[in-house]
Amino acid sequence: MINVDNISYSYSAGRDVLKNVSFKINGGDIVSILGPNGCGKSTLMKIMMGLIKPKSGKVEIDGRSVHAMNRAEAARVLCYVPQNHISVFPYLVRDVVLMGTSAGKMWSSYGKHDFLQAEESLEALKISHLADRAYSALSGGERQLVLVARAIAQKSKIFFIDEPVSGLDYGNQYRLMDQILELSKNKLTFIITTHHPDHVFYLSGRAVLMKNGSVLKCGSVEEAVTSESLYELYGRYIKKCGLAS
Amino acid sequence: MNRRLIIIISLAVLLISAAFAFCAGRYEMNAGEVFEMLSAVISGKDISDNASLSNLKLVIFEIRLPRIAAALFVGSSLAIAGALMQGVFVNPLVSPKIMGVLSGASFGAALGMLCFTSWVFVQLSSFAFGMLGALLALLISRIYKSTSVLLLVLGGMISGAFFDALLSFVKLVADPNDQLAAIIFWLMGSLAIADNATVLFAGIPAFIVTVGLCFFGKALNVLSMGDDEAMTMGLNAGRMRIIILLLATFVSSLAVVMAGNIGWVGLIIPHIARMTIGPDNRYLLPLSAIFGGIFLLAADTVTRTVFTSEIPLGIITSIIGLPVFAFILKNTHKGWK
Repeated sequence: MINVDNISYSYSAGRDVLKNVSFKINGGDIVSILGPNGCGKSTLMKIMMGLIKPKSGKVEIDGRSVHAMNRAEAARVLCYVPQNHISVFPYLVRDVVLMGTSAGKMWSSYGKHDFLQAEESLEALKISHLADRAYSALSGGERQLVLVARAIAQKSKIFFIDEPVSGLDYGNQYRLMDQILELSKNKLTFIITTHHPDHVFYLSGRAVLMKNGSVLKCGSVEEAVTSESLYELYGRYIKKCGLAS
Repeated sequence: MNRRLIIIISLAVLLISAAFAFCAGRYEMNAGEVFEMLSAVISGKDISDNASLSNLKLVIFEIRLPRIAAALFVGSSLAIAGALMQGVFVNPLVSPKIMGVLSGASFGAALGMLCFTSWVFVQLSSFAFGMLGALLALLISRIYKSTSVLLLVLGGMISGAFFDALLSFVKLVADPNDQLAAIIFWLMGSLAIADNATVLFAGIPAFIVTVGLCFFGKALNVLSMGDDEAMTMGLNAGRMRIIILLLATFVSSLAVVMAGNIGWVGLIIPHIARMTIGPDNRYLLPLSAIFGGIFLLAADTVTRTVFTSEIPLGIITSIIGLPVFAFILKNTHKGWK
């Protein structure tokens, strides 16, 4: 369980990026964090991963403060898929996925188990055919999948995914979300920032709506994401309607 | 080709080049004599009454051995430092120069030549100012309470410019009849000054740290994916960056102590290694060190055999480096596809 307790943060004095943000996430949840540009989504995610310290408040994962963990410990409970990641060096996809198994073993060479884990994660996403390609030469969508594979290879239970579908075409957007839904069957927790309300419905689960650094609404997608709350977020009236299946 | 095999073959080439370099030179020797002398040395037999054998012993152990060892140590230190810095700064255009190390060490040496007559003090001063150059760069970046790549690069440029200015000042006040010439010659880089003591006190530590640095590949791979990514993969990015930079600075300072200012190796050898074995630092770091050693040994062997008077190594590395690079660029398609 993740407990985000009264987090506040500011990059420079006088301008708060986050104000008293609190919510709880249960293991196995898919949580979408929705909000306009500059509402503090990415900062909140970085604080939850322990990358930056909050000005006040705390983040606990299964009762332990994430900021008290060293990086190897944190890497065993959480992993991160950044948005639009590019690499200057053309590492092979296989080697990029292998990097996910490095936590706590920075000084030993990769073992049989690590290679197996990397193979399995590539297979899970059906991208084994990319293994010997250069990561930097892939398309944005393929790179995104490789990073998800790397995160799977890390074997941690909590996935932080920043704008998973940015830069992906329509088909790939839904393919990636299908992968996330598939993975979440194994009791994995997903925390996803997004700009697309329709994706939030597609993933269902829970939603945290943020505006100006505060939590506007938090709860199940059906409850939290309504025409009224979306109007408050974006200043646009959006009508919810069912999809013919 | 298997990446491990490439490293083993390169290591074999390194050993063969070293053996060849022992036999190359203006002092003629034949294999029989060398063997006789070596067996005498190993068995502890006294050969001081045999003029040709004791001359041979002098040439091999007092002149060629330190010079060959120094070439290998300097080349491998500069090349691995270059590969490390390219990884840390996630920028393939970076060389050991970037942290202000070479400027600092050059100023230190020039200042030493101005103030001391003993060569040991010149070398100590060079090493101290080399480290100081990089520490100053770190300090400048810390003013902003950050170890971000951009600030480190800026810090390095400022530190480098500062020591370049100081070096110009030393040149200005140096005696143009002898000191200035010595400084200029030293700045062009040469292994002519490498003796056994230099190899022992600068070369061996540089070699030990270089071997240790070969094992930083896995961490450097993770670090080069970006700070947030590295942190969530279990690496303390800021701390690892500082550790790698300090160790790379250490070996490049020692390289300057041994051979003066030699450009090219720290920038281009990592590229040649990358084209040969790919960008994975687990293999790139050791291969860069090996290629650096081979390249500088070859260049130095050319300077001391082909020309009748000593040509500064820094000139030769750049001149023979160009065709070598063009050849490799044409024949490999790895690393930058």
